[in-house]
Amino acid sequence: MQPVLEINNLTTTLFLKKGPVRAVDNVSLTLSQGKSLALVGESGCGKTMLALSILGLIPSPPGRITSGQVVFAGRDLTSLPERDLRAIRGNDISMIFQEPMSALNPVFRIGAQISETLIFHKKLTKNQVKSRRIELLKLVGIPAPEKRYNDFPHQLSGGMRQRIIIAMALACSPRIILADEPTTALDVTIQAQILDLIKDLQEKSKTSTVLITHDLGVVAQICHEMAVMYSGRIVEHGDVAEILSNPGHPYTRGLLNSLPRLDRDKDLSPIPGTVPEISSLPQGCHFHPRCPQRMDICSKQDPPVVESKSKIRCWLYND
Amino acid sequence: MTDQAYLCLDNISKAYPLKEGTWIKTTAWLRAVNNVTLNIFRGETVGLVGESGCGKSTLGKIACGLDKPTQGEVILSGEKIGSTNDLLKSRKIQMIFQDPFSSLNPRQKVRNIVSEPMRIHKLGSKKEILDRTSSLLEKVGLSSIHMPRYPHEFSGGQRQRIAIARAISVDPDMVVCDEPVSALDVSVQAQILKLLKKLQQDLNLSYLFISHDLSVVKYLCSRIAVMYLGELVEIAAKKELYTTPCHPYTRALLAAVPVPDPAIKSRALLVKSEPPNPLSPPPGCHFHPRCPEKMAICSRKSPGLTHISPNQSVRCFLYE
Repeated sequence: MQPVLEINNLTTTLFLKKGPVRAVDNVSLTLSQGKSLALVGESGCGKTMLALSILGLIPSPPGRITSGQVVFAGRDLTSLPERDLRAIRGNDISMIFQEPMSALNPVFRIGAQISETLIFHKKLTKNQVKSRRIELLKLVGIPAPEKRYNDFPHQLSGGMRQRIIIAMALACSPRIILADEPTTALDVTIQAQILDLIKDLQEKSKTSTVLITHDLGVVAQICHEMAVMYSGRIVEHGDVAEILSNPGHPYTRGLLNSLPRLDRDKDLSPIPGTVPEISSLPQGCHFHPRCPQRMDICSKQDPPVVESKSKIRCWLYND
Repeated sequence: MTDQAYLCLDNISKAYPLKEGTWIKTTAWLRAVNNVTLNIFRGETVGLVGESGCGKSTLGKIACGLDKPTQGEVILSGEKIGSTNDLLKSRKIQMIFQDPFSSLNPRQKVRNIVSEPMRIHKLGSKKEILDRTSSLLEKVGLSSIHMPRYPHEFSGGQRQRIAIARAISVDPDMVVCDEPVSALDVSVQAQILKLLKKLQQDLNLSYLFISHDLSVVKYLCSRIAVMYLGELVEIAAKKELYTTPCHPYTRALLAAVPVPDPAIKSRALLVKSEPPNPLSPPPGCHFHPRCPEKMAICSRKSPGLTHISPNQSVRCFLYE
């Protein structure tokens, strides 16, 4: 299948006072039409930076894409001028941000915020915009949309605000949606409703999704492929069912073992320590200080990517 | 464990006045907690689950004396507590808060944060308090070199450890944990959960564990109470709750938890829409507008608590 989005050896560097650090380090991924890819990892491992790099939204300074390409519809997004990127953002590729409380502008009515992208990209008339935004609000399951579009964000609950953000992202029927922890701030019942909505969109309108999350439960429910990130790198990448039933990288295994589960009783075995500061990464494999299966070579040399059932970056699989 | 509960919340209600207008008149009452009765025994962990806004944090605050119930009694090891002040002074019940970024004073050093409760309750000389502070930090997995540092130098998980050290500093019998792990990453969350379990064994603590995450509650708790719009709708031992959940709301909550196994797809959506406004709760059973199994009676009468087995009671007409 022809991929919708291709990321080749993408590196994003942040030029900090302490010196340059790589927030995204040599990442290659492909996304096929109607599929959904999960980016998994602890906070501070570069998931959001990767999503922002795709859209060219890295705050600059201090950040800059230093090498690699993001190929969308035959064009390399990293070399496009800002003008062309603006035509793509929200139109072909849109993003759902993490915090529904801060992603909406508090002084504009939600109707106006949804129509902004429609007016900018689709050049619709006033009446067309009006009917389209009511359609969108209905789609994301807001009751009484004819009244609701005149509300301000503070008049809505967290779940409703997240739906508004999703409606904004969907406004121009994009081909790709980047969802950055879309359900982390929500209750489980509302989370289930939002996940259902995203799944529905995937199936009906063949939208491709990149889902950023640290909840492996969410990944299992709606994603096809997953990539596990650790300190800017992808350490394991493959099919969701395959990885979750048979995780290869010790980090993936650690994440799974630290998850309390409803479907089985077992003790937790958390990963010791915390994510290293990106400005002072350990030598060799970045995970080795926390790894239960580390070997001598891990602290000396970077592991290569080994391709078996999934792509794993670990010395354990290198013979 | 004796028959007598360590902490007994007897028929607690709490209503907050809503004030409006120039003369700040009370226009309405928000009934956050409604006639809740909950017993907690020594060394036991009781989980309190529900969606946001269901009154679980309010109940937690009442349990540790930070808030006063409008109705009902708090009974601590057989003795009625007259005022919330007595409960606070007794230092028997302490609290851990949800957000470790706002629960620690950014201008205080860790040493002061952890030792403040001991200084207030005058538990020993300066030297003794300092020694105890460093041993407390070691107990929660930090070390005494962290004493002169400020909270901003720590990660979320480490901050939550500091908050835990502060809570156990005055030797409490019970700790109220208000969503202590929901702001943390999964790997750190697991570390904190293990720590809480270990401390419970070492110090014979009781926990009232407030959470919205049923898988976390399953790991830590022996008894679970499910709240909906200020009322307890089901209370059951862990085994009963997870194998035979009775209230439709409990079942909906359980079905909504995503399981990290693609083979187990989440079942059909059980609840629709969002919890109703607590200012104008629906008549009868509060859950009936969202309930997949509602009957005619549900919108007219409020169901009472039915005991299904010694370990399980439910507030639903399906079982009356």
